[in-house]
This record gives sequence, C-alpha cells and structure tokens, in this order.
Amino acid sequence: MKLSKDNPLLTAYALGELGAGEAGEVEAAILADVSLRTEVEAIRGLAGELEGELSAEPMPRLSALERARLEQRAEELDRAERARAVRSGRGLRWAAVAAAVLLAAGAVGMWALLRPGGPRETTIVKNGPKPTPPDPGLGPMLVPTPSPYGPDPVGTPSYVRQNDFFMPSHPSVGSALLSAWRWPEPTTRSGLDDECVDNPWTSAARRPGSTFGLNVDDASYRHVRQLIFEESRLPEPSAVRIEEMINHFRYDYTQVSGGEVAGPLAVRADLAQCPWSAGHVLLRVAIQAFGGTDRAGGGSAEVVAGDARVGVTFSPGAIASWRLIGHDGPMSAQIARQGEQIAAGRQVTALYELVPAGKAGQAGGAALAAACTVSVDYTLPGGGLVWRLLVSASGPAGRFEDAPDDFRFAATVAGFGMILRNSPYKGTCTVGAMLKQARSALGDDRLGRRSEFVAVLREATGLLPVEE
Amino acid sequence: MTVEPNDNLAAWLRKAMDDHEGALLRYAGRILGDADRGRDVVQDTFLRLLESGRDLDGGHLAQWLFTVCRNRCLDICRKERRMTLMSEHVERTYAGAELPPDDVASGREQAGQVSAAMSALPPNQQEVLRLRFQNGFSYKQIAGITGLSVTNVGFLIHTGIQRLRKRFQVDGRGGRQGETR
Repeated sequence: MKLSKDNPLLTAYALGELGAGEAGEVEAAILADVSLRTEVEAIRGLAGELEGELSAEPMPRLSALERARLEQRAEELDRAERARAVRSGRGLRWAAVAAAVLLAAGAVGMWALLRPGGPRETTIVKNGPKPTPPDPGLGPMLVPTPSPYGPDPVGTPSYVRQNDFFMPSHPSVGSALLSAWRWPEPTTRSGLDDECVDNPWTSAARRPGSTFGLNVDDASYRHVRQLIFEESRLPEPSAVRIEEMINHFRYDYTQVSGGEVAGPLAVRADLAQCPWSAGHVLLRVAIQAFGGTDRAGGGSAEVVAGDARVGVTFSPGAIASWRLIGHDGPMSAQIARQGEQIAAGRQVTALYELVPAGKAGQAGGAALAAACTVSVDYTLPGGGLVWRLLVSASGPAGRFEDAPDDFRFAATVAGFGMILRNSPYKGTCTVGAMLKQARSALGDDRLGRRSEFVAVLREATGLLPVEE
Repeated sequence: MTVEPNDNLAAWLRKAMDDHEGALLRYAGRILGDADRGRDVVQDTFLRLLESGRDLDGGHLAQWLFTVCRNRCLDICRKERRMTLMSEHVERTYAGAELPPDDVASGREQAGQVSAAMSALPPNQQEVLRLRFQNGFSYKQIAGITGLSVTNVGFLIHTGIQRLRKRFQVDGRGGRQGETR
C-alpha cells in the first residue's frame, strides 16, 4: 500500500482511529517510507498541543439553583415512576383495552371512516354505571366523571378522570367516535391570509369538531421577548402567534405517564372558568410525548408517533359555541388537517374558549356533561395500525383560581397574546391582571422561563396604553 | 423507560451533570455565541434526558447529550438565522480555503496559539476538532453527533490539522519550531 502524506488515513492512524486491519496496512506503508513516520509524529505533536490548549479553556458550570431545579424534577419523576409501578395492574388493563380497540377497528384503515361524508351527529354511548365518589383531597379540578363509553370490558367500572391522562377504556369508544367524528372543514376566509384575524366563534351545533396543529414551535414568543426586552417596543399584532407563546413554556404533564405499556403519547383535557369572560369556560388540551427505547444517536428528532392528528368534539347539548385560541389563519387549519410526526418529549398545549349551552355553566356550577371529547390518532414508527387516545372533559368547570398552575399560566400567556394582537376576544384581559395571574402561577419554574415571562409583562406594562 | 425499581433518578442525574454539564455549556455557548442561551439549552438537554430515559451509559450518554444539545442549538440558530447550515460549511471546507497568513496567530507568544489559530477555520471544522481534541469523541461518535459521515469527519480533522501545522510547523516531538508563513 502506498500512502501519500495528504491521505486522511494517516491522520486517522496517528490518532488511533483505525481498526487492526487498516492500521496494519498503514504501518506497512510507514516501514516502506520513513518520511511517513515523521509525518505521523508531527500529527501527534499538534494533536497533543491542541488537546493541552483546549483542555485548559475555562469550564463553566450550571449554578446551584439550576442544578437544584433539575434534581427536583428528577425526584418528581422518581416519585411518579414509583406510583406508576403500583398502578401497573391498571396499565396492563389499558394495554388490553387498547388492543381491543385495534381489533374493533380491524384491518380497515380508520381514516377511511373518518373522512368527511360520515354521519354528522355526535352520538356517544351513555350506558355506564354510576361513578364512585370523587377521590378525597384531589380538589375541584379532579372530579371523576362517568365514562360515556360504557362499562369496562374486564368488568370494573371505567372512569374518565378529567385530570388524568388515560387510554381508551372500551372498544365501543372506537366505533362510537369513529361513526361520529368527521374532520372539520377548513374555515374559508380567502383573501384574509395576511391580516391579523383571530379564529371566530363557531356554533357547536353547526360544527362540533375542531383540530389544531401539533408541531408548534416558539419562534413568535422569542420574537416578542426580544422586541420588548431589547428594543422596548411591541410587536406587530400579526407577528404574535398565541400558540407559539403558550408552547414556549414547559408544563408538567407526566403525573400519569404512558411509558411502554400505555404507548408513546398521553392526552388530557381540563375545564376551568374563563378568567376574562364571565360565564365562559376554558378547555385546556394537553398532549405529552414520551421517549422511545432506542435513543442513542437519535437526538431530539427521535419520532415516537406518526400521522398524529388531534380532534376535539364539542357536545352541542353542553356547548353552544367554541373558539380555538391561537392557531389563527387558514394556513393553521390546513396544517392541522395533515397527520404529523411527533418527537420524543414534545408537549402540545391548546386552549379553547367555550360558551356553555343554555344556562349550563352559569357561575360555573351547572353540569357540562361530556362537554368535550378529545381524540389523538397516531401510528407507531414504522406505520401499521392507527392507535387512538380518547379523553373527555366534563363539568362543572371549577373556579379559575383553583385550576392548576400550569393551566392558569397557559391561560395567562394566551391572555397576554390576545392583548398584543389587540384581539376582539380579549374580554377583560389587562397586562396588570396578567402580571398578577402569572406571578401566582409560576409553579416550580425549573427553567426560569416563567419568571422571565413576568419580566416581559413588566416591561410591556410601560409600552402599552394605560389601562383603566 | 427501562427503570430499575431501586434506581435513584436524582443521583443518576447528578452524576450525569457532574460529568457533562461543563463540556455541554462550553459546546452550546460556542455554537450559539451566547453563554446564557447556552445555559438554557443545556438545562433543556438534561430535562429531555430525564424525560426520555436513562438506559444510557458512559460514551453513549455523552454522545446522546451532545447530539440533543447540538440539535437544540441548531434549531435556535435556524430560527434566528444566526448561522448558515452545516452543509454550507462543508462546502466551504472542501473548497480548500487556506488559513489567512497573518491575521490570526501572528505575534502571539503565549499558550493558546494553536487553538487561537483554529478560529480562522470554518465553523464546522472547528466544531469537529473540538469534539475530538477537547471532548475526546471518536470519529464515529462525532459522526453520530453531527450527522456527517465518518469519512467526512476524518477528512475535516485531517485537513484541519494540516492547516494548523502549516501555520505552526509543529515537529514530531510536540515542540514548535517557530511560526512560518
């Protein structure tokens, strides 16, 4: 083997990167040409200098506070993991049930059944047993509600705990919703693409189904933050995308996690009274993707679910009209209708503002029975069967002040977004009120992002017109 | 997640931070050109580690952390248009730009001359050299982190060393004979 000094093999050899076979060949070449040995030594000499110099560069560390936040998170996950191990029986039941849903769906592609043209009425089976009383001490947001989907196949009552993530609880879930669900038509507002137009109110009787895009980034929030912090000015209303603001922040959606048994995704739906419009209700939809098993080298792009689409169905009996907050514009509707890939660790949070039907929800007291049903359909990497996660949210909607920090914080970010967009739907939102709300909803704020948001709000106070 | 019942996640995380946080902060800060943003990314990286599993050991763990950290940094760079994409840098490197003769290293007498001269190399070549000589990753691991082929990595390291040697004429015993044009 003849080797030139310009051959990268020589460097690889000098740095010990070659396997025995190639290294032997290079050694033979060096024996034949002594100038190559000098070359190898020179390479090693420079490599040694580089290593020495680079290792002497200062090594920053995380602060004690930053580390403590991460360690606290680890402890929380540890606790959740132990709690889940205790519940593993339940998890196995979920798995069995999920398999049953797949069997119910059979080999027929679910999407064929989901396309427009199916029945319009939302029919949900209501033959479940009476629920057991709420778990004590869980607070007003954690009221177990009867499953609208009938008894559990293994004979125990099944519950839709509105604050839990959960898996399908009965095969009939699939068929009931499959026959009921149709993908919503995109809102037709041609010619308005470039204008700053918020999603309008939609009648649940006329259009009970909604969807939103799952791969939301946070570019708009970064833009807003930069303008306010660095240039002391407010963004153009059209540059404010509320969903990108809400999803800049991380929320704790892992209390009841999926893991291997329950699949890569979890979803939950919660209701609370709307803080900016009396008598209205907020629905929060939260989706969490968990990790897969083969992570090394996959990086942040590891896909755990494909063809993912979310569907939110409002029961016209309980909900008069609904409005998706953020995700504005016809492009958003188009994107949301396409199945998307979801990477490990991704979180998606969406908020809807709802007007309860009739007198339901007045003062937050009346029942909103099976008001909203959220489904997430997806395939596992490699394709194949379509899996469906289902959750429903039922009333009564608790007081906003009693909602979890994560819920209140997301609503506060949305409120600020509506102020910046000068949205006609912002109701009583003021920066002052948002500031107060944000401060009360910091949670553990382990990345410090929520505190930073408070600082953004404080800066914005001086940039906005004086509020009454 | 593969989790042994008696595992202590917090202790495991502490060890991972002890071993890697400094190198990651240095790495992210350099890609972003902003140490504070780098801190954000590194915390995010450890958060993702917690949430996506812990069945990783030694070298795999380091490679995983660097890969995730790098992808997060590039996401931010792309969004903010601070940096052109890796592929463009590769082209620049392959175009064979020589180090500018005098503007980087001339007149420096103290330690750090070689690494200072590195700053005249294309960013992706600097990155690969640092991953090799600062963080001790193998060609294969660097390929895994950066998405380049092992051959590309070998080429970048080889030409990088050649250029630095031309600048400093380092002899076979690690000593420097003196700067030459």
